[in-house]
Amino acid sequence: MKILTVLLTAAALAAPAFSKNIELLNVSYDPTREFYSEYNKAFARYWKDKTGDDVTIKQSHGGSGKQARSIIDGLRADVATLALAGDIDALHTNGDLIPADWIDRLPKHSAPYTSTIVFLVRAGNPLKVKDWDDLAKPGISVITPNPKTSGGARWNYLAAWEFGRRKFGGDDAAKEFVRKLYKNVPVLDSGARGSTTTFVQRGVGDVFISWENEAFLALKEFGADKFEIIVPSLSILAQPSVTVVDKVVKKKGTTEVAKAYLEYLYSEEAQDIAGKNFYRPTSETAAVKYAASFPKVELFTIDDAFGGWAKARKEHFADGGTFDQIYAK
Amino acid sequence: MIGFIKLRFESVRIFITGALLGTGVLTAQPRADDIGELRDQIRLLDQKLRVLERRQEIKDEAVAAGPKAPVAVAGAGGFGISSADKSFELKLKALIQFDGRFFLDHGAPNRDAFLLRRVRTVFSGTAGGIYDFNITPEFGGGTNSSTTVGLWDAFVAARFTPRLGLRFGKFPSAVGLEPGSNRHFIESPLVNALLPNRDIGVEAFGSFGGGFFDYRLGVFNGAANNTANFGGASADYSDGDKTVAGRVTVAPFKQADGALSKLSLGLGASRGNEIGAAGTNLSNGLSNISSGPQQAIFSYGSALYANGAHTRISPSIEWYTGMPFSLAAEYAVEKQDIAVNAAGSTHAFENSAWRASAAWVLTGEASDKAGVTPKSPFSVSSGGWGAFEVVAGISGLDLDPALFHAIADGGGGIIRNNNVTGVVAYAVGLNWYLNRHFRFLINVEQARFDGAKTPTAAVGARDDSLAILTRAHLSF
Repeated sequence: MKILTVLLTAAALAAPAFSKNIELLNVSYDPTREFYSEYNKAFARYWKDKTGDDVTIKQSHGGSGKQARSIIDGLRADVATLALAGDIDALHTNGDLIPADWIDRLPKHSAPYTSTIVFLVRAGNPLKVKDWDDLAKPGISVITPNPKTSGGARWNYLAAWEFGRRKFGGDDAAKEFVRKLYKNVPVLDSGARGSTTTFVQRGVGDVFISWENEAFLALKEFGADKFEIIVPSLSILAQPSVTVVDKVVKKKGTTEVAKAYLEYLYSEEAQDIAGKNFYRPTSETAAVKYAASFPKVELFTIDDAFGGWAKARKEHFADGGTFDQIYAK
Repeated sequence: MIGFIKLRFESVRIFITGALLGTGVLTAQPRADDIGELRDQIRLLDQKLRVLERRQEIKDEAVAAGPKAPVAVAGAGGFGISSADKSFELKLKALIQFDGRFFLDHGAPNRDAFLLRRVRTVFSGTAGGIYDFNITPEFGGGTNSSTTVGLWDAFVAARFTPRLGLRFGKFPSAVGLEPGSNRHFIESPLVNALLPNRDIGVEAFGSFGGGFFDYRLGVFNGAANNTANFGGASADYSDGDKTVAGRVTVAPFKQADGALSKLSLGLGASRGNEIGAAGTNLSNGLSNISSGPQQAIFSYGSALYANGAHTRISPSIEWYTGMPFSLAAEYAVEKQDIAVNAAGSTHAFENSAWRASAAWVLTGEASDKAGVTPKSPFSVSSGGWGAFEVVAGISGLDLDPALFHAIADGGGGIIRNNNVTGVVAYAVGLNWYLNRHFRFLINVEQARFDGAKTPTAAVGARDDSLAILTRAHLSF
């Protein structure tokens, strides 16, 4: 029996390897379409050179929270590259699809690039928007997605909250400030890309609270003569996070390539692509190269201001949280 | 819809502008602040219209992406219907096994037979996302003469989280690997002879670490060995005592890639009180034992009956590698208090059994727990032959020698010449998978019996036996 086991193990390990066609599914949030489209080609070249295997990466985009829900409900994502660590945490807590310590498996707390939140206004900034408190004034129309479904919207919400807390003093004042701000929101899209459509293409609203990269992309695609970026006095360090979906890759047999796909995000080539697509690179070389592209702004972190995503989600975005309280009123 | 709304809103926009012009508001010589005010009003109206348009657009997108019509399914997973979000599902599956048994050497005469071993239709599904159900009637009865229809499984299971679910009803016992994990051979009765098959009760189940550690633990009526009783007159129900049963399974390399990730080690156990009454098989709380070809080889007779604690322990290993080879091994030991006479003199007897089997798919397909899916399903027109798998196995049974000692000497008083005291059986086989659902199996089993020199009407074993077992198996 023992000999048979040893022989069978040896046979398994000695099985020949052949060139393969591999398909990965990257389930991501709204504004990463362009970045991953370019990155996927770079990774496919890298993997072909390294292993001889062909890899095709399919992309799925939507509101970050919604995308996390889809994975939990059975969408066979090899990797999840979502807007915030809290949405990836849900893959562990609600789906048991990844281990609890997923965030420590990759460098920089599994956030290979960062971003922040800025304002996009129409050319000439007709309403003279300068900072967060301008968004709570009567008569201004603000576009931001629904924080129940969009990761970007959660960053927006928390950035506004922290500004309100610092400027007006305390959480009660912050809550009142954010309530006034959301009173000025006429449309809640489910994701950041939907809000971009609302503001940029449908012409709704005076200010769009936007991912920095999405705002730059709007300028690039629709013309710098149509919009302006306004950088508030304070914003949040947004850390989109990535993980391999362990349970799926185990079933599909794609663990190795899925891991490599995420690890390569930290390569200089990938960091350069991130910079080109208006994400703030985390590698020193790329960060220096693209430093001039990004405005200087005081940034705070979710951990420092809100005690991490788990706490922030429970207090602000869970059923009955502050968002439900202020938006229901 | 969007086009219509846009047209309508555009009309409103033109109307407002026209009205302003028509009233002379815009053509008079207004003051600059009037013009500014009007511009603001137009801007506000324009924004309101755009907001309405966009809201309608989002609503339409949500409807388009929303719940779809129910889905009817007919495919490899059976037949069924489900809601678009799969939170409500009904599936119809089937299992049909048609067996043939032929004794080449020894064995009791007139035992060669064709029979419907299992004929089951499985109604299963989900209600409300996490509540599963299964209703499985049995039409075959496992013999060549039964016309009884039984309820084989009937349970509901609530999957609250991956770590915790609850199952209620009648379902496969957790103590042994089978039912559910013996596809190498047509029969593997010796280990099963010491373990429960189905039981009625409530069980918690769950999985940690993405399948690294699974558990099942429940409270049951306490079925006798190798039975699937449904309460009523059987001792497991009528004694009123309950049995705690469960199993833990560890897949130590679950997180690794490759064949080792499918290796799993298990440990099942049960503990309970069973009280029968002197009389027939099962009502006495005890199960007689059959060999691989289902030949009766041991009977407790009518004087002995279960009368106290019953403990079972069963470690196992399974390695369905996802490559062409697979192996499974299982050991079972039971210790049961048995009354040996009308006075109720009770002794604990300990029996043990084991089995090990390995298989190799000659045609190279992956060997999974559920079976083998041929790369080229059998087809006369396209020339496909399906998949072929060779299997080999060995199993054994050791009954407590004290069962055969005289009652006066503290034994069970069972007549050694009429019953086997132990068995070692060797078997080889060839499994032909015509497609994923239909297969032919042929096994040759040589069993060496200890004891049992004089067969009786109740116990047919003699010396050794050599038998061929065949099966046509359809499942989906």
